Amino acid sequence: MLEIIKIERKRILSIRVFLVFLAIVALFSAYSVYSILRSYEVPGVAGIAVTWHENLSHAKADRQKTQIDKEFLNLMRQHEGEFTYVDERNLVGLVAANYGGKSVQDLSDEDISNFYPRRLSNIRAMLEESQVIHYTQEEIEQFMQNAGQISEIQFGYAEGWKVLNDGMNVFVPVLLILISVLLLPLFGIDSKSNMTELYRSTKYGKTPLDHARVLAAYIIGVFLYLLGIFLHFVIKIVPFGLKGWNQCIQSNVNTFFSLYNITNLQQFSLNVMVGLAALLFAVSFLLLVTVIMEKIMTSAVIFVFFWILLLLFEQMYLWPVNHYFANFMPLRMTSFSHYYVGNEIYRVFGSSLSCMKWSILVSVLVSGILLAATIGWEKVKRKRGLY
Amino acid sequence: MKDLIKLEYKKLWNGVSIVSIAALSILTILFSVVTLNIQQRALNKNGDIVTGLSAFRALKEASEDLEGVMNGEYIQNLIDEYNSSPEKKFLDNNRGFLGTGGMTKYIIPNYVINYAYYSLYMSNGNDMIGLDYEFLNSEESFYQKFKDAIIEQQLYVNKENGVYQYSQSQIEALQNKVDHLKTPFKVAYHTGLANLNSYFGMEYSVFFIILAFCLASVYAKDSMNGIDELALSSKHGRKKDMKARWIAGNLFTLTAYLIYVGVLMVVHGVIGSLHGLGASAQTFWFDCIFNISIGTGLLLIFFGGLAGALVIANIVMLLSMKIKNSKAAVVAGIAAVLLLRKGTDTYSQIKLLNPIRFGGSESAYNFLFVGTAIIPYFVVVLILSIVYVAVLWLIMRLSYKKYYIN
Repeated sequence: MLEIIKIERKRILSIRVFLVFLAIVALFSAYSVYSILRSYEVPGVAGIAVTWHENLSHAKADRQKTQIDKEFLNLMRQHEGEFTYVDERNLVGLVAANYGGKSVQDLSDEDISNFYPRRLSNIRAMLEESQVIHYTQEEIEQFMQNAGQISEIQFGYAEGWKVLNDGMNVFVPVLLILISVLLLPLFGIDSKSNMTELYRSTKYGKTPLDHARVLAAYIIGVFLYLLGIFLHFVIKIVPFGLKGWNQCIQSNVNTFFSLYNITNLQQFSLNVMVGLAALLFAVSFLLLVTVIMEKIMTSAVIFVFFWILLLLFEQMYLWPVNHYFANFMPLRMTSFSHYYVGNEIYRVFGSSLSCMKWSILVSVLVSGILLAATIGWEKVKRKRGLY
Repeated sequence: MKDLIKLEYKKLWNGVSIVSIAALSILTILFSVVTLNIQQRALNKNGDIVTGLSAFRALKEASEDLEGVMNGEYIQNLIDEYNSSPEKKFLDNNRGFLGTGGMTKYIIPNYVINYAYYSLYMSNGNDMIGLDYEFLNSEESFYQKFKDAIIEQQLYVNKENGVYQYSQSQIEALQNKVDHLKTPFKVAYHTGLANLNSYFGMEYSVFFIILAFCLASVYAKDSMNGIDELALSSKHGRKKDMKARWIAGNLFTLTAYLIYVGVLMVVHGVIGSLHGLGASAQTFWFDCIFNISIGTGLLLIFFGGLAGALVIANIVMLLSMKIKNSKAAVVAGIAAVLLLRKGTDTYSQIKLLNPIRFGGSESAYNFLFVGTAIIPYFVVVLILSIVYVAVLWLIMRLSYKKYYIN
C-alpha cells in the first residue's frame, strides 16, 4: 500500500509541480507583503514622508509593553497634530470603534475612565440589537462573561501577527484551490494518455489502488497545506518580526469587540485548524467529483463552478444562506474574521454552540459522508466490472 | 469548408462543454432562485407583505394601475394616491423597508421623480420615495428638473472619472441631446427586467470561464479534438482547418451565449416576468440620454455582451494555439479573465475599453464624445470588438504558420 501511495505521490506531485506550487505560494505571499508594506508608507508633500521601515521601527520602539489604560489614553489625548505612525493610528481606530467615531483628542475624562465598560456596553448593545439572531438572556450573560475577561488590553507592537491573521481570509482559500487543482489527476483520467485498462488489470490495480489514491489525496493535501501555511507565515512575518504573539486579539481593531480571550498566536493556530477542516472538505468533495466524472477537465468544470457558486453567495452575503449552507463550505469557513466578531451561534439539542465549533463539526461530518460516497462509488464500479 | 466548419463545431460539443453549460445553467437557476427568494418582500395590492419569489408577482399585480404615461395628470394623481395610501403609512413606520429588499408598487414612478431631486446622489430607500416637491406642480417643471439632474450627474462623472474633461461645445452638445429627450416617460412594472439586468451583470464573467474550458482545446496538441500530426499534414490542415476551427470556436461562443442568455431570461421571466419592455429607459437607467425603451436597452446590453464574449473567446483560442496544452491554456484563460476583471476595479472611464465591461449596463446608456458628436457606448463596443478580434485573428494566423507538434 505504501509503495502505491509513493508512486501516486510521484505521479501527481513531481519535483517540477512541487516547485511550481512553492513558487506560486511564495509569489502570492510576497506580493501580499509588498502591498501591505506599501500601505505603511505615509505620503507627504514631496513624495513619501515616512517609509514603511521607519513607520514600523517607530511602532516597535514606542510601544514596548504598553497597555490601554487611563494614563496611556491621557498621554495620547495630549498629542498635537495628526497621528502619523501605525501604532498611533491603531489606537485612533480602536477609540473610533469604541466611541462611535470619536477622535482620541476629543475624549473627555469620563470617556477615558470608561474605556473598558464602554467596550462591554457596546458588545451588549450589539448582542441585544442583533437583527439576525435573537439571543436568550442566558446566552447574552454567557457572552458578557467572556467579554468581561478582557479587563486590560496590551497595546504593544504586534503588526506581523495582525497582518498575518487578517490576510488568512484570502490566502487559505487560494491555497485550498491550488491544492485541489494538483489533486485533480489522482482519479481523473487524461483522455489522451489513457492507461486505465492496463493498470486496472494488474494485481493491485483495483481495491488497493483506490484506497491508496484516497489516502494519497489526504496525505498530499495535508502536507501541501501545512507547507504552504509555513511558507506564507515565514514570508509574511519576516519584515514585521515575531513580536506580539502573546498579545490579545482585542488590540487589533478588526477583533476589538471579539468575545474570544485568546492571543494572536492562538488565533493563528485556530485559523490553521479551521483551514485544515476546510481542506478535508475540499479534498473529499474533489475525490467524489473525480470518481463520478472520471475525466480531469469535466471534474475541473464542476469543481470551478462549485467555488464560483460559493463566491457568489459570499458576495451577496445572505444570512440564511450563510447560516444553513455556506458556513460549512470551504470558502466561508476560511473567511475567518466572522468567527471572532460575528457572535453567530447554533442551537443544537438545547445547547448553544459557537459558529466555529459547529462549522468544523458539520464540515468534517459532511467530509466523511463524501468520502464514504467516493469509496462506495468506486466499489459499485468495480462490482459492475466498469474497470 | 462548410463541412469542415460543421465537423469542428460538432467536435466542440463534447463532455466538457456540455457539463460546463449545464453547470452554468444550474448555477444561474440556483443562484437566482435562492437569493431572490430570501431577499425580497413586497406590499401587495391589499397592503399585505408577501415574501419570497411570489413577491414579484404580487408587485406586478399591484403595479397595474400605475402603468401609463407620466404626464402632468399622472403625476398629480400619483401624488394624491401615494399620500393617502396605506403604503406611505407603512413606509413611515418601517424606515428600513426599501433599503433591505422591500418593494412597493410606488418604487418605480416615485424613484423616477426622486431622481430629478437627488440626481447623482439617488439611491434606494424610504428617504427617496416621497413626492413633496414643488417642481411637481407642472409636467414641464418636472421634466426640466429631471433633465438638469441628468446633466448634473454626467458632468460630475466626467469631472471625477473622465479620461478627459468636456469642452464647452461638448457640454452644449450634451445639453442639446438631453433637451431632446422624449417626454413624458412611459412607466410600467419592470422589476423582472431589473433582476435580469442585475443578474446578467453579476454572472457575465462566469460565462468567460466556460469559454476558457471549452475553447482551450481548439488548437491544443494534447486534446482529443485538438491539433495532431494528421491534421497538420493533411491537404487543408494548415490553412482551411485553422480557419474552420476559428469559425467553429466563434460559432460555439455564439450558441453557448444564446443558451446562457436564454436560461437567464426564462428564469427571470418566470420569477419576475419580462413585463415592461416598452417602458422608457429613463425609468430604469435614470441618466440615460437616449430615446430608447428598456427592452432596447437590454438588447444593446446583450449584444454588447456577445461582442465581449467573442473577444474573450479569441483570446482563449490564441492562448490555446500559443501554449498548445489544453490544461495550461484553461488556467491561462481563467487567469486572463481574472486579470481583465481586476482591470475594471477603477472609477476611471478607461475601464470602458475592457471587453469584460462590454456586457455591462453602460452599453444601454453610456456614451463617448468624438469631437462634439455623441457616440453611444454600444457603437464603441462594436468597433472595439471588431478591432480586438481582427488583431487576435492576425496573431493567430501568423502563429499557426509556425505551428509544430514537436
